[in-house]
Amino acid sequence: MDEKRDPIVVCSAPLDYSLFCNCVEPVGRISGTQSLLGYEAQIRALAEALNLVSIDTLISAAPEIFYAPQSLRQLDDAASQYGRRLSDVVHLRLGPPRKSKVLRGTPNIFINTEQSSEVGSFVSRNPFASNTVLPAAFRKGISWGGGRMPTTIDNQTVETIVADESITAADLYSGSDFSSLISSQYARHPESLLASSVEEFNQDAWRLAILRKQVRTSRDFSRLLVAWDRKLNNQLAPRPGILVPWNLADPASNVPDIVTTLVTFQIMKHFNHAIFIYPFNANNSSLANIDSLVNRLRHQARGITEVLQKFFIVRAPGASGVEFIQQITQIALLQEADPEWKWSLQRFDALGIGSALIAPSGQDFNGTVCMTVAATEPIQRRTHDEFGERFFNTACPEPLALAEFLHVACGQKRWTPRKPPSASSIYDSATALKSFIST
Amino acid sequence: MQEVQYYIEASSLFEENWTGIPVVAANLSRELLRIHPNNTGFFFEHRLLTQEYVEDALKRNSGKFLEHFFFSGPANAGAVDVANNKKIKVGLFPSIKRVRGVFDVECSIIHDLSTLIVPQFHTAENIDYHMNAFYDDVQSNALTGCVSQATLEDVKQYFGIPESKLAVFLNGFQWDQNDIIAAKNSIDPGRIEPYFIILGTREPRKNIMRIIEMLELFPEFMETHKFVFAGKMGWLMDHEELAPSIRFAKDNGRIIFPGFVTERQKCALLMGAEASIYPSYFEGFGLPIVESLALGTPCIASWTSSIPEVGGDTCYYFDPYSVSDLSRAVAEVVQRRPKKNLEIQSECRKQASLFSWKVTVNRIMAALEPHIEAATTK
Repeated sequence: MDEKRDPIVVCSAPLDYSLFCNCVEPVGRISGTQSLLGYEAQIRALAEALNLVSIDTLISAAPEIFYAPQSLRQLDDAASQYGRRLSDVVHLRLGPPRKSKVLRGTPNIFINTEQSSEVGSFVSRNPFASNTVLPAAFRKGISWGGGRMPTTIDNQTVETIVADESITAADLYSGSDFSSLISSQYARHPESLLASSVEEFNQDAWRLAILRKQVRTSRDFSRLLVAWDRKLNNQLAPRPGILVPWNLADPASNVPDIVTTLVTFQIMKHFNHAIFIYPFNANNSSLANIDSLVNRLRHQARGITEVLQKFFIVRAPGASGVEFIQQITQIALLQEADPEWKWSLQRFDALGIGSALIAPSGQDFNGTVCMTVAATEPIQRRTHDEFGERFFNTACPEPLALAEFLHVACGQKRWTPRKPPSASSIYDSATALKSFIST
Repeated sequence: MQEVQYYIEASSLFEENWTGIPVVAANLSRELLRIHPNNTGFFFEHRLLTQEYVEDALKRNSGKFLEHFFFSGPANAGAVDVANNKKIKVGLFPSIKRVRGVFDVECSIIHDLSTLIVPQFHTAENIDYHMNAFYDDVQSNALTGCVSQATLEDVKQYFGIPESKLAVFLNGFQWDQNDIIAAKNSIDPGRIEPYFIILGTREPRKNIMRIIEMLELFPEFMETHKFVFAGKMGWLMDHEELAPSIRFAKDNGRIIFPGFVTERQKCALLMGAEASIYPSYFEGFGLPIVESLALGTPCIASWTSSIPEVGGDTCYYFDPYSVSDLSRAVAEVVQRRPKKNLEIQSECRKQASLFSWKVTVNRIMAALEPHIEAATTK
């Protein structure tokens, strides 16, 4: 009788496919990808957690292309590197439900990290455009970071478990006891980031650096660190960065409007901090949005160099980059309108980075965030993409609310870091995941 | 059993130049007229077409006059008689349905789910056009035909459509004999330098840039072989600057971009090539592979989606994301020179012969039978 083997997981997500040199690779081979937030970070965290319970993880650029024996042979070869066969493969799909893809011939499990299932009214007759249905092949789902599980298109219920918060941090801790990444001594790793001021930003250079998995910081960034040298060593002084995560997979994101408002503030000329715009969930087409935002900021700032040198586009392509982000970030500015905000919040909590949340007023977040910024200016955004023409009702904070936020956030001492999850809690959570995936 | 009247949706036959869907519609029409000459009709929306005009268009291989005659009157044979219950009416739609629920049994053919599965390779308009109709078409069909088993599996896995409502209708293919003769006459094997041919509209889904990447990394391939990229520029094509080494190769005639080619020119190019290269990311069928194999020319193809179903064991497969895997396949062909092996050429032709319209239409008839029977007993 054949001994039942542990499965081998193939992860996939709507990523930039130019990062891949093969259609299926060990997850560790995709090094140099963005590691702080979004699908790439989720895959890393999952892989680390599953590794604890002896499940290996591969990553596929395009699970949808596997079908014929010649293609499945590649999968089988990749699995055999870990002592597994094609029959042991389980596909875990991340990303929004509307972009879910099936790996034929294997069990497909959908992992949802998105909060909202509503994507605004839409015109497309694509049955998946609503974000409320999954392909029929998904019979199991994992809710992570509070994501709600849709039903399948043929109205079958998806058997779901909830991934514990500890999994979110699984790749952030080193050592067998999972001691926190936060070190008592300040460690400066500017070479672990890809960072460029808006003043110096060049789209082609940025794109090339991503493709080549390079780390490089602009002169403006280096100057910032020099200016902040003493303060960074002071454990009580505020850190220089206000991190603004920008989910490029969210077509109705408010981040461009918010940073454009910030760039117009007179105080920015003498601002002692910096705004770190952190794009994540990029794909081949959304990278152009960064360039659009840069041009917009340059225009709004009317070319005032001192202001543009305070705004940075930042990317952490690896664990040391994430650690450095942690060292230089005072607070992260999240938005309730971002479908992945809860997962990002869990991530920042694990790193000991305090979070502010832009949300409509009157909501109680039970102390999960350090402060809220009221979003009181209603905006209707209109998008047109592969899912048709859609309208999103959202809201941005008034300029005064943003100014008050800056004042409060930058005046604070460093936020008290939360206690990281214990090694046993990560292990227990991973064991529960393994059991779910294997049955 | 009640008599059956077949109706073929004719909108694609109105086009002047028939490529893609019109070719499918034309071949289905010819075969059905051959099998059921008295029980085959043609329609556009709710109107019938006069058969002799359709037959004329089929002889001309063009719908240039058919469209004119239909809309001006002579080819318009009046409304489809939906009230007539003497015969079971079967509506065959070669692609997207313009009308639904008109016939007792309706069957449409899905050629390609790429607008759903790989939308990043399509314009929003193209996606709208296909996805707007798709789900409603499938729901209203008694039977949905898919041009490959891979496409059928996609329909099942994404939409949960039961297998009993699906069938595989492989595309058929045959070169025009005149094109073959003209191609043979234009090729002098002793005077042609070996070359690889890459055909098709240059759009991101076709992954043509992977070949350019390979030539940048492995320029030695261009020492022994030329690379001919024939086809028009398509939508969303990457307008990347060519690397200096590639520009140099282009200036020295090692890489050639002849642009759009006619069917006859395509036939000649394929016939004279060492092999064709088809690096597509995703396909619903893969007709260019059959075109190549039918002329005895082996194909280096990506192993994605339906392509191996079409190429069988005759192709040299590679991972479409891997430059090194592509170079391995090209190196194998350069070393083995399969085109010089008559047995391999014969194998290629044999593989291509599996794709015949006669076989496909017979399959359609067989697949429709239970649904026609069910309609009869209703």
